[in-house]
Amino acid sequence: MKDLFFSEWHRFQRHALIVAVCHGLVLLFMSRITNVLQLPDDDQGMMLAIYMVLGLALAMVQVGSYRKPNQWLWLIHRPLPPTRIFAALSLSALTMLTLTVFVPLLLFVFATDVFTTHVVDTRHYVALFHVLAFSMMAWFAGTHAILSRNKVTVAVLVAPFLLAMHLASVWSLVLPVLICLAWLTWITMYSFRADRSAPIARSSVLLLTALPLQLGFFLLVFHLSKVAVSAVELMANNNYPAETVLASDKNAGAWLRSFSQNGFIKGLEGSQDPKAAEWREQIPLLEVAELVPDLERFPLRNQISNLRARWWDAKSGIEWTFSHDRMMFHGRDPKTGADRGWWSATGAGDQDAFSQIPLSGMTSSELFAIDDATQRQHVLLHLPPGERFVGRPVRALDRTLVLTNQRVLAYREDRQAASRFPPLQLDWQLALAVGDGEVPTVGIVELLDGWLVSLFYFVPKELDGFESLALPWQQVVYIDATGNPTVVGVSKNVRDVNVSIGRAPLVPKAAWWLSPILYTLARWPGSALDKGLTQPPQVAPLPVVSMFYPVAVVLMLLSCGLGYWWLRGSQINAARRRLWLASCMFLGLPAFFSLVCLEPRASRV
Amino acid sequence: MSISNLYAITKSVAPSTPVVSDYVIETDRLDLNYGRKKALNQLSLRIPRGRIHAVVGANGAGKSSLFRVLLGFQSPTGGRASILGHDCTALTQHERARIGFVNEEHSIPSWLRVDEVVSMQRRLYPQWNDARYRGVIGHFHVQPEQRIADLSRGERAGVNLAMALAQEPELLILDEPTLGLDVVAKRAFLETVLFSMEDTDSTIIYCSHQMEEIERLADNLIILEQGELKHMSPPDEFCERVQLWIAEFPFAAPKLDALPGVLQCQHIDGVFHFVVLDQDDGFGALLEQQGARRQNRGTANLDRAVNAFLSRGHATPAPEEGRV
Repeated sequence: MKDLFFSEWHRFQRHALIVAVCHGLVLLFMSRITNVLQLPDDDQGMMLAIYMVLGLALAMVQVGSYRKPNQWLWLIHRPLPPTRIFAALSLSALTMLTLTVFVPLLLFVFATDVFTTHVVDTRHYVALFHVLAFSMMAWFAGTHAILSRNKVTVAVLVAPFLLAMHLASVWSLVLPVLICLAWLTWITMYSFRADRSAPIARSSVLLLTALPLQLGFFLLVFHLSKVAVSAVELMANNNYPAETVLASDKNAGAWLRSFSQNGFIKGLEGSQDPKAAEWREQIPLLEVAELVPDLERFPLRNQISNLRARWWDAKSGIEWTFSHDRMMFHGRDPKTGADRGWWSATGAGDQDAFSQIPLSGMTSSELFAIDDATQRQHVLLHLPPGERFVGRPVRALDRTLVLTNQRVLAYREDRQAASRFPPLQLDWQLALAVGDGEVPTVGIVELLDGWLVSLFYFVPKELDGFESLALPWQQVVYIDATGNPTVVGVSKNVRDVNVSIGRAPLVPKAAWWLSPILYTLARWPGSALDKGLTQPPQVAPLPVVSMFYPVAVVLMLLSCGLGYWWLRGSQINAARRRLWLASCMFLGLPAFFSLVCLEPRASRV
Repeated sequence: MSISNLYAITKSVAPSTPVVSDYVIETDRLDLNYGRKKALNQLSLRIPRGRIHAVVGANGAGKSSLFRVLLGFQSPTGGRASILGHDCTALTQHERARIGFVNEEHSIPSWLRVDEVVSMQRRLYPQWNDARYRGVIGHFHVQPEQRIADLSRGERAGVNLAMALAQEPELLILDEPTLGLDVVAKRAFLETVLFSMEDTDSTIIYCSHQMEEIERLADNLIILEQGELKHMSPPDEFCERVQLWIAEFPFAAPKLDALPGVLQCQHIDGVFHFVVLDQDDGFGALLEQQGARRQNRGTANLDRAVNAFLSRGHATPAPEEGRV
């Protein structure tokens, strides 16, 4: 085994060194342009994808060279158990990925930590191990696909992707990543056997191989349908309803204002309230303040990647970067690289750590104000436990308007207070019509005798399949001068692209009905790991477009029928056959696809 | 002698309880299908220990498929196969240590040096015989510090063979090992194989299309055709079964339907050459009945005999009726 390990090392050492040096140079070059460690999650996700491609490419070159029958025979036909041959190859791959991926990154992070004033946290060091683990998972997936009967088994790679696509703490990811790594190691180890074309004999291995494959197939179809449905919906909805536009001039501001005003007018069309006609006439003359649920998530402590955790103080020329270790912002002069101290929960120079990581001047429950002159930070607003911001507060209509997961709130400044930044005083509040998880887009106008609030609710059918079958509904509420709310208008199934735009048609959609069980399973890592979301993911119950339940049942039956046809004449034992047919029945077509990959069809001579 | 008689020879020495089998290879109604194609078709074969056994057959006859099944790299569709008394589908590393394999590609890691590959193999095989390795590699003039990638095909074959023989395997399978070698390398290779047999009781399965190699090496000849066993005997016995008849037909071409056992019929320079199987002098009488004049009986060499045997039924154009 040791010899085989050194043989592989000898084979790739030169290439690995070249890649490592190139990787280091690229990191160095990037560090001259940007702060690599604080790049947002999209960019760091791209970097992770490149490292995974590197692992996949190594598998294709290294293990792919043994794929030909004679080469495979040379590798396996020796007095060593195949597990030790696998161990030698995977250890050599780990060594090479450590050299090419981990070591340059470690040196880069360490050098940044020691020689610069950039913020480097413990999470950055821990994240390097995750990067190495994900590259190694890609190597396992590539190796498994190369050695399997069917190349599409590379779909097992979807399992680690399900973990990688979440902004969770590096510590909470350790266990899932290790489990995923062990899982892929196990199924790849089993593919190191003399007869690669033979079906998997051990039920445990078959189960562990089939499940990620099925998830992979499901998500593949899932995301393909997402793209397809999005495209179709975009094409179908690109005709803007000109009749809804009230503004006479055609500038963009007027257009946008008229959309909001139109929402009120449409919502009041069916209203029985005696003042409704009067309000409809007033609205085109009034300013509309809008609150949208635009905060998807807040950062978590020790998060594996970054949301926007920096802010730029243009006046002082300081770039403030949040340190997860100290739970404070660290100041740095980007021109000279000089250290400019810390910014705590109370302002510059103090050592009071934030309780949560702030984003855009607020945490999920606190809104801050900053006194530029004194460099102090004040808490303007503090939400009670269980309530959190879902949109950025808006300063309009002489109020601070706030949207949380439970209420719409309007605050006014305490003009009598002695302090320049006193806590805000509640003017009025409106409880949302539906409980947590269904957050509306809100429009507010101020009347002479109160307020009108228009709320468009979207049933959280994020993965429903066809959003056009689940249109938003609208509620218009009148709030009198004393703050008492009265519902004055309700409209169901609002068909207005201006309402839906940016929401339903662009955030769709996939086919849960392809496999309801896998749909739930695929969403589970999200519900377990996405702790920073302002609107928690809805795993259950399944979306309720009733016409798709028969579709799901038909697809299950079809899958079962196809499974029966595939296994007809096969030599597999009855228990295994029953297991496959049950999988095809309950997991649907993805189970049939995995059956095609894992069980050879009986030959017909 | 018929094929069933040849079977009888090997069957007669079969032990009643083959815990340690006298046969290095046993297959029983072995089937292997690739989709609709039958690579092996009800192949029942017993190869006794010791000696050099040559496996011949046309391309696609099932030779390489048989080796893949025997080494456990392909599961049979039906039947069973064992090698050194062990089920082929469950070979452990201990059994693999007793089986050497050399293929036509001489797959050795090209990025290593000769001494690195050898030291790797030496550590793997407990029964490694260094003296034998040195003895064999000496025929091929290969330096230990040479990289495998820099070796010629013949030198690579030499290293491969030397390593395979130094493992002292009970069974050595050579699958077209001389393919692509020049005359000198081929001769060195064959001499080494012959030389190695002098002081061991190994069994060698030798697969080749080169009949002069088979003629020189093989103690036993196994002919496969379309996945079926067609013949198994010493090469001399096979050659005795195949005769060459040369006859002149001055008036009309012979009717082949009336001539039994014809494997091949060629019309060369006005003379008919018949390669026939299992015929006695009565075949001459039949030729006379067909109008033959000046007939002559000879023996076919192994190359011609095997060639005729394998190409019967599809390689020879029938002479035109009634014309010479």
